[in-house]
Amino acid sequence: MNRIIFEKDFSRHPLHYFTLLCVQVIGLWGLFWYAHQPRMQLAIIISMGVSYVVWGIIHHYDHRDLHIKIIAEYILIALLAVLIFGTLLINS
Amino acid sequence: MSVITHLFLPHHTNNQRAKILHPSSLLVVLSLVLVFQMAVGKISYRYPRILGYASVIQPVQILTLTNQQRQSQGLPALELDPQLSAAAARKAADMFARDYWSHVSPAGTQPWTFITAAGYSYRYAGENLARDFSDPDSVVQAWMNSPSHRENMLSNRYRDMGVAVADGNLGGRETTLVVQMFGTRLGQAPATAAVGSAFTVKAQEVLPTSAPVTSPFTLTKIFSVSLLVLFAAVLLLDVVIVNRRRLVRWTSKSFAHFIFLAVVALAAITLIRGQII
Repeated sequence: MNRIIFEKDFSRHPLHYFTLLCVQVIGLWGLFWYAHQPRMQLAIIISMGVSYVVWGIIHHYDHRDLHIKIIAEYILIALLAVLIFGTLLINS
Repeated sequence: MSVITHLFLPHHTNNQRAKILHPSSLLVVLSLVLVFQMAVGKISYRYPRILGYASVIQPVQILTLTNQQRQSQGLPALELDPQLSAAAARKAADMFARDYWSHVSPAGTQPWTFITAAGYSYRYAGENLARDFSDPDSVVQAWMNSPSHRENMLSNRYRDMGVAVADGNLGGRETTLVVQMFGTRLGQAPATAAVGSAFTVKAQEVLPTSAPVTSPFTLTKIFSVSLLVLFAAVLLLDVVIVNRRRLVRWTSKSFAHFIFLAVVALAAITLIRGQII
């Protein structure tokens, strides 16, 4: 099991974080592009959440510290974001 | 203070990770979001004067703003046609009666059916729809930002316009529909570019209406953005403190969570109310 601090993690996997940032920024652009179209925006935010969980699994698998508890944390954060944005879309 | 530290900062009492970031706490927050949404729905349904939507949109304002956009592009102004406005009003009434949000009704009725039924024989015709907007500027701006709606608004094929603004219940929710119909009569030539043509309709006074205390969207937005910003701040603090203390943990990556939630927070902050098709 490989336990390292943020600095080392970031310097060891800059491409991982760059990929995450790119995917999320593309999602953000999609949310802007489909402004006033809640169905499309909901589909985009769900895709952003799913891609985030997938990113987490790949990142930790690469680190050799993948565990069900860690996957659960990514799923919960993704669920939280999707739920919060979804409730906003419902009321928009 | 110790409760705040326990909840929001890495500390020995929370196993060096803010308690709010623990899976059990995340489940509690998820439940709170659901309860909040249910409460907003119930209150806005039972007490629309406290938590409801208010829109101040006059058809003539839509016409004026549309013509302003056209004239800025060197296109002639459209004239308000009573028959097209009647067709737009019937379309809005049909959407409420049959409870649909589409250009084509569940029975397959096209927008052109309403135009013809109103006695307007068209050579060209078009339709823009909007709902849940609170003011005319937002409606016209949303249409202008959408290529297909913008094409309708700035088309030189149209000479007339009809607008209807109707309040009602759509999909179990009080809403305001805006139906904009464009047309050129049979036998009429399409509009040609003419710089500086005059407006055909004068602005009307907007009547004040009794607005609710706040809207469900505003309340949800404040709640959502606050929650996302709180989590993003806690995660950023977590990254900084853990890195400074050289703590070694076996958890998910706070910096990754921060990137994700910061992007979603940005999207939530910039989200504007209203739908168009």
